[in-house]
Amino acid sequence: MLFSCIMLWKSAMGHEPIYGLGPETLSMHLSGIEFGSHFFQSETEYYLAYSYGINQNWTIGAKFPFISSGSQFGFGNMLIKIKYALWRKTQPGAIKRLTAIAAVKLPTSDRSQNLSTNITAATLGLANGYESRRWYYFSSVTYTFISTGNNLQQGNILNYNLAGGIRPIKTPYTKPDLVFLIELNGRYSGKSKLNNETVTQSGGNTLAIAPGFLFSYRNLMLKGGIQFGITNTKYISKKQTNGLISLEYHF
Amino acid sequence: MWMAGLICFFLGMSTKATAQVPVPVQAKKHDSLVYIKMKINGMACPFCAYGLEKRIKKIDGAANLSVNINKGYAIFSTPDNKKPTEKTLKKRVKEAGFTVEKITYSSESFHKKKIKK
Repeated sequence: MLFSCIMLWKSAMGHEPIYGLGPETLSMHLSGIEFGSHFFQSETEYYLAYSYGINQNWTIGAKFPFISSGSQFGFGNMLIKIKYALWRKTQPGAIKRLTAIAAVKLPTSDRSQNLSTNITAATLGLANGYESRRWYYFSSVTYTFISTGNNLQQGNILNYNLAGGIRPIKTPYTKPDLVFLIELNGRYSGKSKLNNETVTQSGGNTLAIAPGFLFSYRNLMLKGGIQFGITNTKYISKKQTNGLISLEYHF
Repeated sequence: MWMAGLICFFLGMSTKATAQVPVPVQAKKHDSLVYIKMKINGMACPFCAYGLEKRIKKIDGAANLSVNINKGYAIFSTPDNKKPTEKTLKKRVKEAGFTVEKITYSSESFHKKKIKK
């Protein structure tokens, strides 16, 4: 049920980590729409996301998830997010930037289907990146406050992400473009509380690795990756292997 | 295996490209054109530079746009009587998230100039 928190960020943002968070903001008046699937062993999340560049520094977006498990299908927790480019430095064929992110997850999931926990979550984060014609580097850190609205208060979550990428062939502007990525995704989860009492057997760390690709042609991008859990500590389970694929269109 | 196949397909698609092709923008015939070449910093990927293409197309009369992402410049033309100022050009590029290093105006196509050399 908590996997919906993992994918809190993704929505129509171009060259960014598949699982992590990137610093990209959209050009002024540019819109991005993305349709994706996130596959787990027992369930699949489908999502439709929309982003809009208010100007070169501000981007707003929303993500509408749908969860499928067995014969059940229902709406997940909707996400609204905003990104602000705090700093950017351009160079010939390269750009460095630092972006702040704020997001709110709303308890909109379909309760009748019992597919997803109805949660409200607020997230603050920072992402920075270096993008060049050949190499990519990203890092990000986010902190998420979670409210489940019942007696069980889930521990807050710290996510961190490191990603590197390479463009093997520097193709011209109007030709297909391919970038390979490798990501290291970590998470620290705080202890939960039940009726204001700390649940001792809760909280911990997980670490996962995720190879992926970004394949674009003009304003259309196909991206995908597979995430493998590497390790875990304390009472957090190792991340189960999962896959993600999405199609993004800018207009 | 399907992943390996997918990667091979993408690599194959990418290697097909060798020449710089102008972006298909409908060109209108005018008696007198001014050609504009902008050296732009920050263009790292074609997908991200699409926002720049969109901003340039918003310039009144802009046509014949071509972007060379490997060399970092954009070339387009406008009717002479609609020639945009440097301030306008810099603003458009900034709106796309990039910066202009140099702007060159010419009465002759930059593509033709290159061929003459």
